[in-house]
Amino acid sequence: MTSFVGRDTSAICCPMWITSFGKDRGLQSSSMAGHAKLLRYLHICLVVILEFPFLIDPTPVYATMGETKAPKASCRIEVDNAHISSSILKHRKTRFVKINARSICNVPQQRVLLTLEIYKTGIFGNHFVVQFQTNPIVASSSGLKVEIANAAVKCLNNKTTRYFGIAYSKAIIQGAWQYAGRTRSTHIVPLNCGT
Amino acid sequence: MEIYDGSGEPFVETDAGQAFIDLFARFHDENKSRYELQAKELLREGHLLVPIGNSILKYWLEDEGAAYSISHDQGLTFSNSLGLAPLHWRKGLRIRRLVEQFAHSEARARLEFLV
Repeated sequence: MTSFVGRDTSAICCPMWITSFGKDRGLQSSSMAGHAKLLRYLHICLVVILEFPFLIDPTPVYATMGETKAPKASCRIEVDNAHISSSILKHRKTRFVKINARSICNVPQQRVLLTLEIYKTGIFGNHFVVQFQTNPIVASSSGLKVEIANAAVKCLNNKTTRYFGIAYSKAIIQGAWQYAGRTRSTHIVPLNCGT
Repeated sequence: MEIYDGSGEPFVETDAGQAFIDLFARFHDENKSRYELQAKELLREGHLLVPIGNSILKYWLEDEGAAYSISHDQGLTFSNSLGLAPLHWRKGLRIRRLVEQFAHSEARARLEFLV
């Protein structure tokens, strides 16, 4: 913080305080008590500015623009619950089980390799159904949000089956490879779709 | 489009998601005979190259499943594995799954990679 900025801010600060004080009903009378009160406030104002300049953030936005550090990356993977999707084309009423997943970041992510695995539950444990990955070299795999929106498996019959998805990813974020662990759908959803 | 899927909650598909599903279903139906021939060749040879527009889709068998990747430079370099599907021990179900894999990969290549 430069002294110039500090002076600039104090010049703004004091009139503001006085203005707010001017709205005080006590000032409307010209009694000695009112003057004493005004002087006491001005004294406090000066003490605060001179002794504790850091208490009043004096740095305007433009003054800090060159000094700001990159924001801390906050990223997450979201995996939707399984759902049924159906073709709306005439004579093609095919049904699919579908799960969407996305990698979301507050800073740009590049070369995102997002992997989504679809599982179904069974008597002897979970069964791997299919895996999809993004292609890191294409433009759609960079940005604040990278999504897999085409992970679908055709239903073979109407047998009730319980599905869920697991996603994980790696990406270049702020110049370094970052890895996101396995994230699962919030619910295991029973669907009328055997695969 | 809102669809009741048996889970108790209706799901509204996005336009992009619906476009993909429609293309996936169309390819699956229209190219089924070609996909079945491709599936037999893939099971026999263990790998397969299919040109789509200016790109090439590569399929191969690994770990009792079938995977695919895509090349945009006439086969000089290929992407990472974009999809992997386990194959059933029964031949009929293996071919059915491969037909689905071919339809999915071509629909994805058409929409996602604009081939």
